[in-house]
Amino acid sequence: MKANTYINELEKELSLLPKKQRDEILKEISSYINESQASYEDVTQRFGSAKDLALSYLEDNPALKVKKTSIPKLQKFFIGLSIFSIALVILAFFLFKYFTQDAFDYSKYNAKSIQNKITQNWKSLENIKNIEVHQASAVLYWSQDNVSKYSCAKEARRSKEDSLLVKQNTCYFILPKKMFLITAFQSDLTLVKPLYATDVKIEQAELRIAQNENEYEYIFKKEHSKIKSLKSVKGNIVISIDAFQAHVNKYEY
Amino acid sequence: MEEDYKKWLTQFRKGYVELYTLLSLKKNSPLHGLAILKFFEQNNLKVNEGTLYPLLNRMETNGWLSSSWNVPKTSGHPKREYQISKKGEEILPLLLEAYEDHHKSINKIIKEK
Repeated sequence: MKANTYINELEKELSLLPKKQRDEILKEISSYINESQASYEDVTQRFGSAKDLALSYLEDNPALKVKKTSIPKLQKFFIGLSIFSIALVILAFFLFKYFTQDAFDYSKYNAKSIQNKITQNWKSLENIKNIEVHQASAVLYWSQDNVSKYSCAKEARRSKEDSLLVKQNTCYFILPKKMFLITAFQSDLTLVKPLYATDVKIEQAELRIAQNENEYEYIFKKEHSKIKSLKSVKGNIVISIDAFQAHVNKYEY
Repeated sequence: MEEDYKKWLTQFRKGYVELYTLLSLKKNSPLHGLAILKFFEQNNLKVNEGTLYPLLNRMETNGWLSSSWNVPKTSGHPKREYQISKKGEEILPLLLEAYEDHHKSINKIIKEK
């Protein structure tokens, strides 16, 4: 084995030292080897193994102490960064929840109690068979007493004689026990304990159904849509859902 | 036993080889590593390369020595030459005094019956 091998081994072992200091040491040991024309074995005998010699250099080395103390600093930085990232994620989660959460738990209300909860003007749904929801949010309740009315944050208008168009709006509906066709486009639709068969047609929308203790017979027609957590039980009120690029889910507050 | 002795000797040497090195360089400056070893040998002091070179490095880092590279103009290899620094000059009498005190104490203990 050549004496140069020793220098290569020493270089590896001294990798913790700053380059300038390491180069000086290697230059000095190389100079010794060249001057004394020592073989690998001679060098090992005089200096000890490259590892032992490196340890002697590294011992009590102030430059290495700086490196050693800088490791915890780096760790502190990453710990700080991790804590900051986690805090940021938690904050983002709560902000997301705050901005996307329902104003209240819709499933805890019924047709009667929602009228007290929503104090803005209620209007009649007389002669309306279709409700069209466009880029809006709508919550629908069914009345035992055949009450038929709605309340919106902004004005809603009749698109046809028997159709009500709710656009870029937030509305609550109380529907009678009769058949309605509800269409929704790019909207959030919530059905709360339906009491009558209902047809729902949704596109690029989210439909949530608060079943509570009730059971329903669902008839799904879907395309590029996801339907979750809804169990269809035959012989119950029929909810027909035609979904395109939409999400259908059980209501959860 | 032999291991323990070697460990102790390594620790012990660190101190007195530093003292010898300062003394060597006080008398003959500048000297390169191999020359320092030869000077030690002439004075019946056995120190190997593996002890001396890291020690020279540490002493320079402490500021007791300074070094420069002597590059021969014609032939030969560049050599790192050491000389005692001002700080080294200042600390040398203190080290010698400490050495003598310890030496006296050891002798006193040995001579006591």
